[in-house]
Amino acid sequence: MQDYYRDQTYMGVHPSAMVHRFGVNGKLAGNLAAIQEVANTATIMYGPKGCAYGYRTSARSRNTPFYDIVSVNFQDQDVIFGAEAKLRKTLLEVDKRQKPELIFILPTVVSDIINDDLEGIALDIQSQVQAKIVVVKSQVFSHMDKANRAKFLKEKAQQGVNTRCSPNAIYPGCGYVEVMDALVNKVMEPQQVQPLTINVESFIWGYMADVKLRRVKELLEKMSLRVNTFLPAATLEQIRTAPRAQLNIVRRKKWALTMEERFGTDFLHVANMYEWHGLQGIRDFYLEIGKKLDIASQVEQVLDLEEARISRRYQELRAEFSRYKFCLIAGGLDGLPEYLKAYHQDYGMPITQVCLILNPRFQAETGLDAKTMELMEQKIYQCMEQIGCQAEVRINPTQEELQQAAELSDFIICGSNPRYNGLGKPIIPSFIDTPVFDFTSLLELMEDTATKIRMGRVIGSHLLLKRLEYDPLYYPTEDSDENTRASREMYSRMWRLRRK
Amino acid sequence: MKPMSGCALYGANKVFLGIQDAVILQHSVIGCNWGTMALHHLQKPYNIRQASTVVYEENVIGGGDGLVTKALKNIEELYPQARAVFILSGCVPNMIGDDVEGVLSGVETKKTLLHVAVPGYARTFDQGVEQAFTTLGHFLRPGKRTKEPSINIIGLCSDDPYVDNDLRVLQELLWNQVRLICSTSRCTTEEISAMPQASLSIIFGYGEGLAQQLEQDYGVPYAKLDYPYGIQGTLSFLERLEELLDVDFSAKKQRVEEEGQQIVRKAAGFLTSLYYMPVALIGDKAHFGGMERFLEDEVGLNIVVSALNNEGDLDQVEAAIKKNGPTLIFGSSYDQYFAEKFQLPLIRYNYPFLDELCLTRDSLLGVEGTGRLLEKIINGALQLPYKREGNYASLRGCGDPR
Repeated sequence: MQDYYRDQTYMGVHPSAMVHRFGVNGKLAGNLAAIQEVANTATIMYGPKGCAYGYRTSARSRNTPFYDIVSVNFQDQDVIFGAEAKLRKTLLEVDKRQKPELIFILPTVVSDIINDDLEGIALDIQSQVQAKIVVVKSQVFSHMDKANRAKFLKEKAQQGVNTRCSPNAIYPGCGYVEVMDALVNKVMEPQQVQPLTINVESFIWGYMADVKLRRVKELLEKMSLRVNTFLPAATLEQIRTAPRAQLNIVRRKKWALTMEERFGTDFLHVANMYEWHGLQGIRDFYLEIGKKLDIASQVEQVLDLEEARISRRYQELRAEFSRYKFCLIAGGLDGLPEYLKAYHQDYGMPITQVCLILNPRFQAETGLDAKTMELMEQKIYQCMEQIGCQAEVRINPTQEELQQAAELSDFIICGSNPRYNGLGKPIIPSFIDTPVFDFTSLLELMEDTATKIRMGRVIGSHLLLKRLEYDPLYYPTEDSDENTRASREMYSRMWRLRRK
Repeated sequence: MKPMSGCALYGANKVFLGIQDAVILQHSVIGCNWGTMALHHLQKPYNIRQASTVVYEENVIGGGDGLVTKALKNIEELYPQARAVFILSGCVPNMIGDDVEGVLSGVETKKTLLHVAVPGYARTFDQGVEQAFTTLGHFLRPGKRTKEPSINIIGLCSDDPYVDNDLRVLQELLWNQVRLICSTSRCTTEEISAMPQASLSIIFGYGEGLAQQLEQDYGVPYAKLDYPYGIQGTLSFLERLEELLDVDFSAKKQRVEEEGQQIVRKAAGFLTSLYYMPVALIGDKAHFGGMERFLEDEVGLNIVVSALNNEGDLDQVEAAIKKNGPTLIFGSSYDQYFAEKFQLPLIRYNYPFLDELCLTRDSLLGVEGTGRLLEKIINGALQLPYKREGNYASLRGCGDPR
């Protein structure tokens, strides 16, 4: 968990999460999120300099500003006549000065409107430039369509409690996906497929992701499976030869579909990490890989050994947790079944009270219909029945009801809203449900949780955070901060509630 | 072992530095003088009032008593304003049996000469500190209790970081309601003499011997309090004084609450991210308890490594940090050792400060002090160079394409 806490402290402290309340970032942020992982690159932004300046603090790379963005610096005449000459000059300069292996050309909204032939320019100048030029093509204008989220939620609501979903929502226009598609189409080349090799996508695996994936690699090796490369955390050569792998493990489906179409590479889509949470989830993850590569029994043998290694301690911890009663405070209908399974089923922490805090605008802002909302609610009770959870469920409880739920529990599992801190019971922070993909990590998570339970004391009895009254929906915006709430409402009205 | 603290000589020296009309004479080898001065000099490179007898090889054989005589003669000439001389005898003079007391009894001077034997091999830092505070009892004189409520502050020293500004903040908080008779961090021998006039002595960590003497001989009660970091820390401090001194701080407490909200307003988003993060806390007895309470109670951090720096071994603390994985360290400039080893932000709040100056009115107490502390914490996390090459950069090249 040390890696988790470091990521949470040094990355989580950056304020981009707060800024997201008032608008999603443009897709250039996603472009840069992908590019920053690739080794030895340069990036040219084809647009006015404000884009390069603003996106330097990319929403996805909160750890550090992305300094190496070169802007073509559109002026008035470039908008009218195009900026081809500037781009050519910039390409030659960047290639000479930085000596990258790859130069990405990123379009901006301005260049999308004037529609310069970036591909043509790149093709023409490639022979004069050492680096491989990759033009990233815009799939949508400005930023990703919000319809994806609604699509995803709807499909998820319709799937059974135990079904793992590979939704049709493929996020076209996500800046990250645009770059990945460009890598598949422009950089990757046909290869002789090496059996039992896997590419693993290095993207949005949560905090301590690099450690998670490193351990996945180690466990795969025990199954005689090799990681060909991580993508996009790779060199030019590794990207070029990525089609060597027999299978892709992906978080974003679109580029995997592109790669399947172009090179025939099969993929396992981990759409929702929580579907693979816990001992059984981890087993299923590797068994699924094994099935796809036709070595399921071999994989199972290794899994049995791995599980046997941690089994005794796992059961001891579950026995320890089972002595207590836990109150789970969660927001959102769609996530609750997953959290219940994680705590009650996977960790063996008896959830006896559930307090569900719902955003009354959720349905309107996501555009979900009443039927879908109903399915989501039903799924909660189906899940509870399946896992034997007989918790008392309170939806949008009053403060008094929250207090009652707390009094009937030994611990409260919740997020960092200080509203829950004053309920008089020790808090188990809800980040402990973070999905991991190997048994060692699962055990480490449970050991860390056990330490917190044994500590068993209430900290934060005079939390600074409790000195303000917060908006019930938009913590930590203050209740009295009308202008901030108005700005949030503006975003809601101008975009989230907008329907085509 | 790699010591977390100095020896008794360091402890005593630290206390006596606060006495403005006194000189410290270290009867020891020159290295002791250098070392104690180096830990003090960054914050206050002026008004230096310490010197050494420079015990040397010939003195080990022939004795060092003569050095003391000579040094005191020089002090008489060179520090005419000084009213007292504290003679600290270190390791070597105590090993060779120098009769410092004997020397002092034969010296004619109007200055008060006080000897404290503080050989480092025999006494710890804390013992040196306590011995020094108790020695200050020599200056206590009977006096009439003040009409208005008044306090002594015992336990703080001249080179505690921010101490002068902290004291100013405390005095501003107590303005017009409680008078400060004497603070050991900065006072004269005359002010020490006036300590028996106070209604109450407050102890921060150290100096209970002196406080007990004040209580037993002069009827001045004392209370041990946590150093009042934070908004709640300030409020609790005022509430305790209300109980002990029968004063009403309602208006001031109200202001602290209101002004405190301003700080929280700006920091709330960041504090949310840091909630329950594991941290390491290292500090001295005067400041540790208050910081521990502030970090857990007010900021909501989870202290997974805690160590008093008056004892113990750097290696022990290192092992604890390695095991428990804090993401921030609170301590002194020396704890940069751990910060660099484990790539962690260091929030400096405690003695010794060797690599951070304070040239302004900055304090770590009161509402503004809370803001200053939160700045240090949040900026520490924000500014740490972390995964600069990419979230997954460590995985580049980890593939195994054969």
